[in-house]
Amino acid sequence: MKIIHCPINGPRPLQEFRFGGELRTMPDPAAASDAEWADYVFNRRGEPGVKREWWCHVPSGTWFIAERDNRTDEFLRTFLHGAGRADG
Amino acid sequence: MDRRLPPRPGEWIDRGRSVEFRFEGRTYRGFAGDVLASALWASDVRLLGRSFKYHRPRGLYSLAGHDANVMVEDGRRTNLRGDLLPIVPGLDARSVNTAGGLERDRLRFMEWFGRFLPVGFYYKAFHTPRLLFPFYENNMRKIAGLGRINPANTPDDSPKDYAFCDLLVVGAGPAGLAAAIAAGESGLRVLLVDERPRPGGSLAWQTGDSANGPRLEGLLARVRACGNIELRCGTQAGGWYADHWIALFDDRRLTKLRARATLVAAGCFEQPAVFRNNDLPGVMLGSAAQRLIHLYAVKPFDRAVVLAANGDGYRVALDLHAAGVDVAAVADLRREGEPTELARQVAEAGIPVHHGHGVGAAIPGAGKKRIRGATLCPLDSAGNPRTDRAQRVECDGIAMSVGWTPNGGLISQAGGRFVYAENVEQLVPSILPKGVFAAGRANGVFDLDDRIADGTRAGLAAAAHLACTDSSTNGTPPAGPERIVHRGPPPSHPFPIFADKGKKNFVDLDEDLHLADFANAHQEGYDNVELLKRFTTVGMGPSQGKLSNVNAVRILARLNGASINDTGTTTSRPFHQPVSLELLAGRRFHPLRRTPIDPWHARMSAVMMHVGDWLRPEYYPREGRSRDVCIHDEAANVRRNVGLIDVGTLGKLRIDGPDAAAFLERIYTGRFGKQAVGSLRYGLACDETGVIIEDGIIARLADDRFYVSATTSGVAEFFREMQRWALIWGMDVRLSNSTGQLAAMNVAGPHSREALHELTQTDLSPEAFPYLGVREGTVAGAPAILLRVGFVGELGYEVHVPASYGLHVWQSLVGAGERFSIQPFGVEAQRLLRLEKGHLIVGQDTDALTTPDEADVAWAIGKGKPFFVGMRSLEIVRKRPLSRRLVGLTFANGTPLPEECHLIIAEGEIAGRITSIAPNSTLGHPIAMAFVRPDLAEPGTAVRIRLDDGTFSEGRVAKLPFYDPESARQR
Amino acid sequence: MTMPETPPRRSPIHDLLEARGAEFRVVGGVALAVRFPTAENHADVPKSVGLCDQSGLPKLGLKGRDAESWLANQRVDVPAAIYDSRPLPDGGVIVRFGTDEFFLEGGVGGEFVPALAAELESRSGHLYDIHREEAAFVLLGSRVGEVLSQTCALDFRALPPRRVVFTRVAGVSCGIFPDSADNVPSYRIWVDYASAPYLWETLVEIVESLGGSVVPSPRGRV
Repeated sequence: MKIIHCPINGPRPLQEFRFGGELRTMPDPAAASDAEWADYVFNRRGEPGVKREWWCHVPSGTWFIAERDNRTDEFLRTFLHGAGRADG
Repeated sequence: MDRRLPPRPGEWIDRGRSVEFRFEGRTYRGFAGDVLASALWASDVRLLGRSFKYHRPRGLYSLAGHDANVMVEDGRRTNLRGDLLPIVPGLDARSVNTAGGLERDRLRFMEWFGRFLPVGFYYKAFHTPRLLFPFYENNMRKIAGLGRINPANTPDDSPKDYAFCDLLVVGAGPAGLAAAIAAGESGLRVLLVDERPRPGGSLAWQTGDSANGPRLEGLLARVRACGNIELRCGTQAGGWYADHWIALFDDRRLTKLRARATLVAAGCFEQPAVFRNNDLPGVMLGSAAQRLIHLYAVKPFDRAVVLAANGDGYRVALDLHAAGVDVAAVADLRREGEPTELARQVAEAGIPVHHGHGVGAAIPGAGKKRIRGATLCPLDSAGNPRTDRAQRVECDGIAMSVGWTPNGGLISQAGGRFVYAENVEQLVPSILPKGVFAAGRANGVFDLDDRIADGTRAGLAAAAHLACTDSSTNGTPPAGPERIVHRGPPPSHPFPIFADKGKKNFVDLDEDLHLADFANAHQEGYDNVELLKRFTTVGMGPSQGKLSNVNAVRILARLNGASINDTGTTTSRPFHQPVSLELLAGRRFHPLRRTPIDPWHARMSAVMMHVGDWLRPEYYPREGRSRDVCIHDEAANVRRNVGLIDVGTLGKLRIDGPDAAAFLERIYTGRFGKQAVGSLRYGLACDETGVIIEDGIIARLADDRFYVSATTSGVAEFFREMQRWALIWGMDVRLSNSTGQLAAMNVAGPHSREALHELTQTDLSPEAFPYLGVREGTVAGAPAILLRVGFVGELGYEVHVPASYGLHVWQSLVGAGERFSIQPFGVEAQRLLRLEKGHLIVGQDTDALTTPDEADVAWAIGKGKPFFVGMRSLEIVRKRPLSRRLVGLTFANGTPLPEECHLIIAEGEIAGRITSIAPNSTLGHPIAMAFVRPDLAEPGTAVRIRLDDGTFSEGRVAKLPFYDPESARQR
Repeated sequence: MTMPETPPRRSPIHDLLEARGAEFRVVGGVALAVRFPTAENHADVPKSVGLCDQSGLPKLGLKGRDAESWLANQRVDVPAAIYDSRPLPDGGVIVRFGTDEFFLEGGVGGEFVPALAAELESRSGHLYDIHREEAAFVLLGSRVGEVLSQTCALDFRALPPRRVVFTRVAGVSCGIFPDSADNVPSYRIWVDYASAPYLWETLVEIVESLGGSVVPSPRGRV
């Protein structure tokens, strides 16, 4: 079972986490066309590479962002939302 | 005849403890420490099992846990391996794959049909007609099956546990011990496991040198002296999973180990040679003969032929000689023979050595239950035996030492790769994933001193890797000593396989596959290793090809005219050795949540139902009343008097902070900014696609404090989403989920005010505490939040109190309501009451595509809001016509009634479905809610619903709510 | 109309303790099991492992921008780092759960937390009290590690003392507080009230399989 490093709680087994999907930026609802909005709502980027994903450490209720290489299923780093590119 | 040898140092048996056991109905004796196969062999029993397909006699072969033909059952457990099963007093073992016992197995004649059972026979013969397959399958299972399961057996819940270490070392042989010592002395917490009951690996049986005992003791003393090495014997590392998560099994439990690095020093499996009758009792691996001698002090044969292709075979010959076996010949496949000192020792022992010779065949004795000789054949320049120049040698045993293959399943599972190395003529690890290390023979290192040095090297490399992982710098570990490369002749022969056309040259003893099967399969086009495996089933038997895959690949490579590396190998999957389902099942956890009122429900013998993780009262049974009547009566009492329901499973959230109202306006469809303190509103929430995901009530306790209820099964996920949105929007809110920490009950019915009045100082008058109001006060002495809601359509109050007061408050309400005929009601009655009011239940009356417009709750969407989750999607959806609407249906009494999810059919097309139905409503006739096509949604429209039996029921669309349309009663 | 007195708080496993023949005493508004007919009643150092219910102690959750300064004004020693703890004057403990989130649990019979809660009536600013009513179970004794290793995928040997860990125990989310003292390994487990009966029954089964027993409150906290 994989280990994920929660930025707050440290390394924990996968079973303590819930996957929250790809990190996406909501387009401005007022400015986006219907097609752009539908793309945001329904489409996900599944191509191979480093993904930014939401993960939640369930026992503590901690949401954070993980960079994961979906070719190797390796977690490269994790950080709190808003901590941006600071450190892992 | 007793084949037991005199006591010898290092033997695993305890001669002080004699053990009586039974095998196939006869009584034998062995010693504590014996396995079934060694104890039987010591009693000169050689027929230990029958083969899978042909029911050929089979004996002891590997004595290393791969003897898939020696399987027994003991009355409780089945498919136990005779070469692993310790004998205990009272053991009553029977062979599994026989009809009428091992000796007189009626199916032994299967072998005569062998030539009618070519490879792929079952696939081809029983493919058609399909109708008959169950019949075929049933009979095939009977004759080709393994043991039977005893259904009366009730296993214990074996506990599973977790364990942790820095480094797992698999295999406590010389390399593993050295690796553990090096890593342990570097400060790592080391777990050293070995699947055998004692440590030492091949040091305990292979090299036969008197210096080995002290050498092993010396290594073990260093292991013991190092405080941070834990040694677990009798423990297999069954499988490697992501991030060094390793399943360890002993005879009692599954341990889920988390290591930080894994070091595989699990040695090699010795590989058999292929020749005619190479499967009969008496033909065995050289290592098996050595294990018999050194571990169990059993003389393997009286007169032996050793088939050798390496120095190990010469050691076998010497060990046999020392054990008093007359070694008639060593047939060395190599023309040049053994170049080492061992050759001289064998010559000095007077053992004839035949260079460039192989064994053409084992000559069976009566009933094939033992062998009585072997033919030695010189090999021609192509390596084929010259049967015309065969020379017959009398013997009762053939020991084969022709090659090895690494026990590297864990390395493969971890993502490692192997490559065929010609200096050893076998596979060696080529790519080791991060944190995975290999040492010793598993790493292609064979000399004993080299193995120990390789273990030390790998242990230090693991320590360096972990020290590097610990530090914040992300450098590569410092270069350690170079990998040790095997010198001298290769320990494996490149092709120890000798064709004897049409005869029984077994490649896979588990599956009874012989050499010709491979040629046939190849001829049919199965020239890829994975396809060949599936067609022939090679390696798919209980030992998973540990003794057959290598030869199968050598055969296929030769048939294809390709190298081993180009031919490839099959995938190694967990588990390393079979694991009983009992251990895998083990103790299971089934978390269950209970409300604080649960003890009271139990006293009332409430019928409980599972709702998500929760247990809730479905209804409260009463003497002599049916379930339906009880539910109907509970509901009727709410309408007539007053009822009390435990709603403690509802989600209970607090949304606090300066941005609380703004936050709720973004989460929910409605408006809350101007909501008055002390009031509550309905809240409807959508996901980003505009689909309804939640509803509840939103109570404003203060400008910056809201108390929110949510659905029982949706709250956990919904709350998590709220937390995420709060982060994304960067709003100043504090979210709290107090669901389990508060008790909640709804007292509802015309007399609810009077019943509650007894217990609270809060002014309950309609003027002071109107419908959709919220008050903080006390109830029965406990701090409480009171909410005036109308979910069931009557005057009612939800009372939320701290969980630790819940039971007290509930009992107080039951007491106070007694003179108003208060009765508890369960989930079913509540579902009925809300259905009468036309209130939807999210997830029951909505599905994964339901929008507020379809569910007729668009009134809950605040007009002109700048944003809420799902709003933009709803704008798009609203440009299209509605495809369905949620409506009420009524049925005439006596009509056959549909069930939930039955389809509404119009003009032969699906035009809707029932979402909720109540056959016994308090309205006097059945009612339902349903999705219908918009053109059918007009009240009064008749709709036809198809029932299970194909007949139709007719209902009529009705205006919602069915009950009290003006909602006068709840105000 | 007569208003009833505030009733004693009730542990979520009160009935399960009662079924074991527990004697209860109300201490500081909590009905505590103080004696069992068969178990080791001198629970300071159970022979193998002891399991003790301490649910119902007064608790307080505080959140908000002003929570830390308010606590400091009340002369509470506030832990600085997330999950760190400090003792409270009445034998209880305060833990920081987040940037501006705190959890307080009073000692047995202690007045500190209820008094603090009463002070909240006159609060101002961004300070929110959250109802907290986790059950609290204490595991103590030499074989505590085995109970944890059968229920929890976390290496407790590698964790610092007196820092709360949120993880899963027997499949349910819990806060675990290692508070070993005097060489007696001890862990305090906070679990949702609703999951408490399940967790208790699961822990009792494991504790008893290891030769341990249910014990009354350890003296240290009484």
